[in-house]
Amino acid sequence: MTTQLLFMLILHVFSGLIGVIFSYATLMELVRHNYSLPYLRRTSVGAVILYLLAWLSGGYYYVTYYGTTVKPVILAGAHPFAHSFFLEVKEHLFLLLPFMAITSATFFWYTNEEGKIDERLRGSLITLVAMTTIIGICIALAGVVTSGAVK
Amino acid sequence: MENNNTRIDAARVIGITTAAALSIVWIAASTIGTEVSAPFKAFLKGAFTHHWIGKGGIAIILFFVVTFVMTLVARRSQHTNVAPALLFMLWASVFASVAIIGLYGYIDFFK
Repeated sequence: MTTQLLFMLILHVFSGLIGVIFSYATLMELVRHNYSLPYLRRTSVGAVILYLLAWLSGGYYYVTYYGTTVKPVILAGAHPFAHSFFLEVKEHLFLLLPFMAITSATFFWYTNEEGKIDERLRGSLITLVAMTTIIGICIALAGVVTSGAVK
Repeated sequence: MENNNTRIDAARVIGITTAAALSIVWIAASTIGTEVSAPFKAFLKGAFTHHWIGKGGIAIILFFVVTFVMTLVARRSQHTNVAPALLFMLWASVFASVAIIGLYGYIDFFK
């Protein structure tokens, strides 16, 4: 593996993980009664940027290296489902994350006259951010399974 | 210090949210499409060098186009209720996640 590919892989893992941490931080703040809107805006935008970064770096690694070098090793190994199920689910679910994160971030700029989120929307927003966080965690775990199957 | 009253209008929220939901629906539909139709997968690969880039690339294009169109439509119709768009987004996310996990679960463990 070239240094560039290694860098992309490391960038993918770290930006993805930190993105999930940002989503979790958004969720924990959003469920608080006295939430901070500037904090929600910062963490949600951070999650969008990090998910996009993880998307680009992971996509580069996946398209240029994984499919030709790593995938055949996994499919020929003892745990082919690490690719055929976990990686396939991961690579497609990952496409959803930036759109989910962009939506929740957008709503933190849609406030009432008092600078608060409409209480009727807050429940749906909590569900959306929770789903983003859970999908993010599942994707990270699928990455661990895939990496483990190569060894 | 950021001002909490910095806000965007309902039309833009409706535009972005609807666009994101439709992009998610496209991702789920195209994922199923590439697994059941080899010509569709070949088309995406031919047009974008890789089917995965095709799915993501079209989702991004769709997002920007629908955001522009829906923002315009919502602004002209003076539509200000953002709740249906958010609900659509939630259901699209649930549907897409279940569809993708179900699809590969079926292919890998039951087919």
